[in-house]
Amino acid sequence: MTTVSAPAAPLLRPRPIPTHVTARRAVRSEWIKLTSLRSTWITAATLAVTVVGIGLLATSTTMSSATTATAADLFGLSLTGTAFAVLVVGALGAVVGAREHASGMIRTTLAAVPRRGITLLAKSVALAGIVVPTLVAAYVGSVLAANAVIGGAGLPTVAVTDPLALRAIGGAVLYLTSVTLIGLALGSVLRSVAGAVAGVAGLVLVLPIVAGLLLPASWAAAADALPSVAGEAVTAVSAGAQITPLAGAADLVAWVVVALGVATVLLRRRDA
Amino acid sequence: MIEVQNLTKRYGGTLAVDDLSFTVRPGLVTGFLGPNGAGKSTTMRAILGLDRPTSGQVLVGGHSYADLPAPITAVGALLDAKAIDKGRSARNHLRALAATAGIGAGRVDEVLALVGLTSVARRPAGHFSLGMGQRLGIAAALLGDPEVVVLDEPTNGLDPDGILWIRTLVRDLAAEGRTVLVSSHLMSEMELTADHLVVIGQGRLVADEPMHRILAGATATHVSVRTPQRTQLVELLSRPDVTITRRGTDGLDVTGVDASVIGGIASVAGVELHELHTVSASLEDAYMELTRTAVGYRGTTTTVEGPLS
Repeated sequence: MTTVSAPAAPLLRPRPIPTHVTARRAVRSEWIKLTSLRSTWITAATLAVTVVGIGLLATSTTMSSATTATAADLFGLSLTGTAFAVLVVGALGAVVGAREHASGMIRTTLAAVPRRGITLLAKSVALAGIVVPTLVAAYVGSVLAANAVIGGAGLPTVAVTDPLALRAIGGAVLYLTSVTLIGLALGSVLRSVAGAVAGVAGLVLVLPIVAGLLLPASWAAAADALPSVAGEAVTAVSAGAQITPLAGAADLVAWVVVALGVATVLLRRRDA
Repeated sequence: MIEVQNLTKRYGGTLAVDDLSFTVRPGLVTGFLGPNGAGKSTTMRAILGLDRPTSGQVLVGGHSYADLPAPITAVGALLDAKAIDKGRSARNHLRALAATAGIGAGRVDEVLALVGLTSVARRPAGHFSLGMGQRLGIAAALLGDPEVVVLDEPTNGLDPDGILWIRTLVRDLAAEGRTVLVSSHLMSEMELTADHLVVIGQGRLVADEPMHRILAGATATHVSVRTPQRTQLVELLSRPDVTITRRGTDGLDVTGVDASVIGGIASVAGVELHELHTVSASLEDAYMELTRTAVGYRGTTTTVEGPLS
């Protein structure tokens, strides 16, 4: 209807631009999204402070009353933060999984990367890329600080390079990263930040208590499959856990695979 | 080119889009018009592969959306300007989007300048006004230099300056040969922007026609006259092909005679005129008529014919 006048200069100059969405580019995109939100860094800092702070607190308050404790028992105190950090990482995962659904941003994301399996995988990889280094640094820091306190009191320590320490730290990182990704999957499925945070808290805090108090003995196998039980197994510094560390690790990996698998199937099937 | 083929989308018991077919061609601005709830947004989400059609399909450039190797370089879309993570800066929002197709920060800064957001690019986008948010959404749509541009209510909440800016931009994009689909629930907006109109009502196609044909149908006019010698003028104008309606104490609405003819007749007869002007039925009226009657038709295409207002 109106006369079409050519623009003075082309709005968009033709340019050789790389194309093709790849898994690598999807991860890069999710990495930019995560690292450009202040809340990510605040949560990472909270996580580190929880691990180191509670580890140190537990070490310094319990150490004196445990004069007969072994080096392994004392070392175990430096990992006490795990029980609290699990809530931080669960909430972080839940927020990252649900946030874009709550804001509507998910439509932009999925329009840019229509292969939805890649989208969810990219979110998982990017989030693990933040959580794993944070946890490794926090646990190494916690053990070093705790060892300074324990050694200063003339009590036996376990070096951070000791196989026992490496296995327990690796176990804690595996456990907390797994819970992060379970939270992310739950967030993606529930599409609600509040619902997903409550859900993951229920899984790692409430269910273990319910299982321990209310379930009949015949359900013990089911209770043993909970992530919290696996978490205790992989972080154990002495015998006594319900399952072996290796079984615990396998259990955690299975939880993550199933959770992300279900989330991927649902993300593919549902409208965005 | 966007081809919507027999698209049907049902949410639970609600039929949002009902056997809708139309084609959006390159080089033109196609207006996608319908009342709120007509199914425009659902159709646009189906175009972008976000909502899975209950039946039918949508092709973009001959491909299914999911098969596009780098979607943002093929289709640029603005669906909802408020659908962003609030804490992220505009620049980082665009950087993340650009990264999916390996597009660098240079292009991000270019589109930020294009939409006039350079000075606020590092501020959290959640604090943007609606107008700034729309501009960010446009920047995101243009990021990949796409052949196809889909904008859902882009002028929503914009001030007159912003509306003019969008209008010019949309026209320029089409002039560059791109396929441009712009939705609105206001006909008045389309009147100045669109070359072609696709009108839907209750999820069904109501009209799919070039703007000039819809305009031609809508330009039913009458002449409004005010005169103290009304009875005399009615006698002078009375002919079989002229319709005269009395209005108020001294007003007449005349159809079938041009204002110049009425003025001439009055002048010769010495009839005093206080008012004489031509009233065009607005496109808005034509649109209201279209979507109102759509309810009565089931899946048929109606054209703009017959009396309008």
